[in-house]
This record gives sequence, structure tokens and C-alpha cells, in this order.
Amino acid sequence: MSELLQSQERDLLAELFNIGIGKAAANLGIISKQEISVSIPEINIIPFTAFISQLPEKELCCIIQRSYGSLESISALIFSQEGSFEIVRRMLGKHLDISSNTDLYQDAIREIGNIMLNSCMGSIANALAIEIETELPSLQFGMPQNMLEDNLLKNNDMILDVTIDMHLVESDITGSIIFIMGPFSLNNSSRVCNLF
Amino acid sequence: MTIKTLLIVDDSTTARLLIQAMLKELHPEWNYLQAANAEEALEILQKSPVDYFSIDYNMPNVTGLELIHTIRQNHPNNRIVLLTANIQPQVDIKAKQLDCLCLNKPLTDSVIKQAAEHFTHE
Repeated sequence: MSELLQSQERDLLAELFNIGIGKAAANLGIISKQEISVSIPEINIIPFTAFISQLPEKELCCIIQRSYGSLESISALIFSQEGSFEIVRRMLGKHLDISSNTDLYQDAIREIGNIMLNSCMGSIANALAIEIETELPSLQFGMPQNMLEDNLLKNNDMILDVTIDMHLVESDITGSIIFIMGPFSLNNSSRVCNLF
Repeated sequence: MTIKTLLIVDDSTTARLLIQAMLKELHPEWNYLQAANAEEALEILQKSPVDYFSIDYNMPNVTGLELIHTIRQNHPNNRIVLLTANIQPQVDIKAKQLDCLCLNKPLTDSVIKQAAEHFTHE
């Protein structure tokens, strides 16, 4: 069904999410005090069940945030639990110690998700000259399939999935940001692209 | 010289502790208070005089801008910084309309320095 997205529209969407992830990665670089490399956005329009089946089958740390307004979406920031702990440790630096404080670690990784996902969605909103409202992010640990299924319609609607992988060069931590818009149709993609 | 009091309002414990720790390096002489939401902030305001405010935007039930609007009714001249992850210009415009400085997270030495300068600027 990827023919639903014309080549030009795919390029526009990729550019849109490049802008957003660029700002989010820059902020992650500030937070973790190191260089962040990011992949090219991978854009798919696929049935929700197909999207869920391709997610990694392992326990991960996932920060999920809903956005609404002119561009409704669900965004998720995903790291391994060990990776997320190291990012938090680097953010807090000399100021706070999380080694024996689980509540503080969870609060800190949720705040990191809040900063990254807001900067990403905010950059996209600014590029499109629209306003996007975001809900407070939720933090979950477990299989990403289960976590995202809990936040989405459990049916076979077509969704737009944009996935970008990140690599924290010095710490050798990998993570992903996933954006999901759905139910998605040709009309939706044209509407988004026409906002440019 | 009277001791200044800063109230930090943020639903994130981490953000509150970091803001306090980083500002304390610049102003160890200040008195620091914390609130996790607008309701707690208004309760503190009824009991304690506050000179400066650091307020988050995206909080449960009442946003930072709504809280600032309420605070401004009795504290029209107090220095307020809106410290937010939301980088959209609409938030900055609304903050300026309420006579406060909007700064974006993540918290860096530069951001904290700007906040401190806004609080102490004559």
C-alpha cells in the first residue's frame, strides 16, 4: 500500500521529520553530553497489525506522548533500560545521584522524553506554521508491541509510521523515535504535505 | 539585605531538583521552595512570600501559563521565568503577554544563567 504515498509526498514527509528529529537529537546531545547520529527517516503506510509485528521482541523503556491539534500523532522514544539509565546518569551529572533512587530515575527519563518529543513535534509544528498540543508523556517498561497496542486502536487500520534510529556515539547506546499517525489514507498524506 | 525566595513549579521532580541545584551554584543565598503543580504552588503562595518564580508549561490540570495568569493578579511585578520543553512560538508570545521570560529546556548552564539574570536584573 506504499503507493498511497507519492514519491514527492514521501520526500516532503521525510524532510519534515528530519527537521523534528534534528532538534530532538541536538537536545539529546546536550542532555547526554555527546554526539548523536541519526538515521534517515523510514516512512511506511502499513496496517497497524503489520506495524506491531515488526517491532523488536524484547523488554525496552518507552516514553509515549500523544499530540493533537492540526497534526494528531503518537510519538514514542525507545531505549534499552540500561541505555536509558546511562542517559539519565549523564544528564544529572554531579547534581543528583540516581543509583539507589528508582523513582528519580523514572521521573528523569520521562522528563528526557518530554524534552525530546516536544522539541521534535514543536519543530515540525514550527516548520508547518501550525500549533500542536501535547499531552504529558507516559513512561512504560516492557515489550513495545504491548505498550503501543495499549495506546492505539486495536484494529487493522492503515497507519503512517515514521521510524528514526539514533546512536549515542560515545556511550554506544542505540534508540529509536517512532511516530504513528492513523488511521491514515491518501487524503491524510496530501493534507499533511499541503501544509508545507 | 533581605533573602530572596524562589518558587520552582514543575511536575518533574528531576527538573525541580536540577533547577534548584544549578541556581544554587549561582545564588546560594536564596531560599528555595518547590511545588509539583499549580495547586501546590498557590498553597505555598498563601503561606510564604515569594520573590521569583520558575514555572513549567506542560503540567497536569493547570498549565504554567494559566498559573502565571493567576499569580499575576496579586504579583504583577514579580520576576517569572517559564521553563518549558515546548519550543513553539505561541508559548513564547503568551509568556511575553504575561510579562515573563520564556526559556527552553533542556537545562543548561546558559539557560540557568539567563533565568538568574532575569530574576536579578534591576
